[in-house]
Amino acid sequence: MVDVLKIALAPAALVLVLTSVTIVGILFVESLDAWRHEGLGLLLNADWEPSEWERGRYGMLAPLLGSLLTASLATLIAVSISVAVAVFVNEYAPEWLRGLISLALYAMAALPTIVYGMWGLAVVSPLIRQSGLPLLCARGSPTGQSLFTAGLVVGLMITPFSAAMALEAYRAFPFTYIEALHSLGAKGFERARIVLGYIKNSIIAAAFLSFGRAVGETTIVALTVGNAFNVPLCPFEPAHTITSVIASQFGNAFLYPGMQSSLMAAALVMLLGSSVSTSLGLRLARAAASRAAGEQA
Amino acid sequence: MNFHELSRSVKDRLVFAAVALATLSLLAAGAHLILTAVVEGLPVLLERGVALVLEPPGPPGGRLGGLGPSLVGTLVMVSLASLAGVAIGVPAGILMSEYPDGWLSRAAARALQLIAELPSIIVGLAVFTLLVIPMGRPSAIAGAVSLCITALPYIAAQTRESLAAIPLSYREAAFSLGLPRWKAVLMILVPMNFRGIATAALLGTMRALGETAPVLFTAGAAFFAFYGLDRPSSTLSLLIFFFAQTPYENWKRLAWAAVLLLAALSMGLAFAVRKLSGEVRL
Repeated sequence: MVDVLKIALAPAALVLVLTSVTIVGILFVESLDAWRHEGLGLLLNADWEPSEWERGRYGMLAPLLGSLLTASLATLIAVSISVAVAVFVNEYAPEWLRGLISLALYAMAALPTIVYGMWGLAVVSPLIRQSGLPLLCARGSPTGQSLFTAGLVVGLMITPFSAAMALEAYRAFPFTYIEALHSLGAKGFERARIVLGYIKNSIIAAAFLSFGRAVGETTIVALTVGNAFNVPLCPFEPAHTITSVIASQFGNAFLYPGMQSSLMAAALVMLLGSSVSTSLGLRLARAAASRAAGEQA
Repeated sequence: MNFHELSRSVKDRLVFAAVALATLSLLAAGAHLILTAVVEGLPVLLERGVALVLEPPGPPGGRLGGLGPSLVGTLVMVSLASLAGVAIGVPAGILMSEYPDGWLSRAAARALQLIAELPSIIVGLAVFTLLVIPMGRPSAIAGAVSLCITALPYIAAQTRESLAAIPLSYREAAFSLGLPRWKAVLMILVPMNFRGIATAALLGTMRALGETAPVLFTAGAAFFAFYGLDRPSSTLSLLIFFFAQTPYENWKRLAWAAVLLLAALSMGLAFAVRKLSGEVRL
């Protein structure tokens, strides 16, 4: 018998599949030119020499390192705060505060990234500048926009998501064990140590997912990283990430032979990095969840 | 109390202080962010009143003006994106929940995950290549397509999850009526799950409203008038992105007003979702 429902629904699913294939396909095709001319050298040299008359050089080393460092910093911030939130909420906070914290996290997760970006540009960057920290670096940022600023604000933006994961994993810890720990007289930090050891994999999963999200973040980074083609050596220097280069250069890239294709190539590399990180994170999270379910059964 | 006990107590207090401080600083950052938006944005809202939603921005460095054209652009692009997102995402979600083992469902699930995890600027690059270059200019319609693609995975995933959560006994009851499958699904299970579908639509709208990167190269940057669907346009998020980086005081104030509007709208949608479906992973 013909399944009417399936036939009626199929086109929509097909659109979804075609969309994803098309997006990845476009990145491949559009970046071919850059790969053909530069090969992997594109990612390994740091010369940014645009030219309108001949093919310039668009080395992506500096933005690539910038992306890695910014995303690592953001992940570090997000994961450490998330673990702290999970421990605080479950071991120390009074009941009334728990609800309030989860409400606040939900509200923070709902805010668009441009809101964080504006705050990072108008509030955090001046704070960093006034703090004097950029003076520690040889090429310290005169505006306060730096690798560190971008990592910090992106980290704060991702924290509600990774905190939700950490809280969920913490809550999934079998209650009978918690009771047993209490009956042994374990203090808060001792309980936390045991639970964190047990949910370690979920935390690592949250870290991978956070990294995947941070690498692709554009709006915040473009406003706070300072847009400078330096190979970043110091956290308070202005830098570029792959996303910020695309955001600042792609609009005029058609004027410079080779630039558009190089930016597409960088986007492809970023997509690869972020999806590897995200898939690892999802896989770990699933494994950890099914393990927890198994223990509880 | 022996030394061991004392050191345990001290350690416990130290850990408490550290995790409390970390939690507090996160919440303080969130509170500061929202308060700054209110302190900077509210005076503009009060000063301009209705004019804020009607007028275009003033000249650089001049009078304040309003957010009119960007609001229209946002409204047009986000509604188009959400409608198209629902039209594609809901059926795709139903397919994935009703035929989870079919090849198309599995391919769609893969695609959904890929698009959801995609750095959203990449969506912008793809739509730029496919629509903006052939059309010769950025346009509201290209912006809407970009936003639709970013909203799609959320709509489809939420539809799938909410349908999968219908208890098996309800499902059995629906199928035992002897209806053909399409009637059982579309006339009983889907309406039963109206809340889930509405949640999906709201989540998609929220996503489309908040995104900046996908429209950066697709929607254009026409902040002073709305010229039509096939012409350059702008959204509130784009206005913030561009105006925030200018040195003009009046444009920065407009950007803050837009930040406040966007934050309020997004939170309103998020709490509507929470009201409809309880705790939802954003």
